[in-house]
Amino acid sequence: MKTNLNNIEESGFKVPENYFENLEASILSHVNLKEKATDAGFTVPKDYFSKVEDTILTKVTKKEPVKIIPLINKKTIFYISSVAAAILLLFNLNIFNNKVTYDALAYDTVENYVLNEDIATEELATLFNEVDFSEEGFEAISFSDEAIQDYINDNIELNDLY
Amino acid sequence: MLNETVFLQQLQSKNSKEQAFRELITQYKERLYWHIRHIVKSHDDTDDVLQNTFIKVFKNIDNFKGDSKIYSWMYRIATNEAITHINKNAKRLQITNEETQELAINNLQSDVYFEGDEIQLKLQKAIATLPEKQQLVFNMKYFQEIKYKDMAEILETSEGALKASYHIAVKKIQDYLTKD
Repeated sequence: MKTNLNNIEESGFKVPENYFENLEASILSHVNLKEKATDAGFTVPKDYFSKVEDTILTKVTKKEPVKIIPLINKKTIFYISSVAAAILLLFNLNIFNNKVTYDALAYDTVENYVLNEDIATEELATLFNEVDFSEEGFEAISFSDEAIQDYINDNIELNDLY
Repeated sequence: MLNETVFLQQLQSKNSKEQAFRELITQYKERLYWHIRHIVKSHDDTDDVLQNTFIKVFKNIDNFKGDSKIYSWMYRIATNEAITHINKNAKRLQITNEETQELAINNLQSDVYFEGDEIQLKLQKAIATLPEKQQLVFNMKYFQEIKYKDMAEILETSEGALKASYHIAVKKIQDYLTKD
């Protein structure tokens, strides 16, 4: 079909929804506001704008004094020595290779451990094998009468004997 | 001003940088000053932010690739610096950003660089009730008369959205001013 100008009744342009309904309010609120206050009321100090270039340029072009850092100074030597000493100590102290053996433990240490840890008699008993005890072992130890008397006095209540 | 590409080359060349930078400050000092002033309100704070903005521009101009116009890039730096300034003040005073702004407006009454009357003071209070983005749009359009096209580039928002935002802002302010 050939396009005939007479057949085109609309331009095809559209406006947003409610555009004309809101137009008066939109223009009027802007006009009303402008009537009330055209500017914010802020002012600036006299000559501020004529000096601001120099103020900023002085700041951005200010040359920082160049720091001279000597390659070897006391501080550097101190740091390097500390690191070297730490590494040497790590290898020489040999703290990681020490293996603890039962033989190396002092009797007092073990005794204190047993006392402090509050280990029950039954628990201790489980640690001993039957072979650890022999009659000879007991025979070899002799207690004095006095020691036996002290032990009875300290540990046995009269009621326990009944 | 010179062609933007040539001007950028001058700003990035060691020999002409200082002279070109002076020219850049002269061209934009007032526009950026007023943009910042409407955000932070006091002259002293504006002066700090304006100087920081130009110092940042000077330090970063060598990395500026020209993807946007120099002025819109500078406006973005100024906006960020001004908002950062408000945030820092809020943190220092241990109050919210809104309270910082309220404080800045209350201080206007005793500010020697504020000559506004009662209506202008009320207008500032009305602006402070708007969300941050609407405040920016309102200030840029109403007081600085920046074109929507330029504003769209600065705020990286579509012109349509900016127009809608501005009309909502005007309506809210008008309502605030006439409510009592």
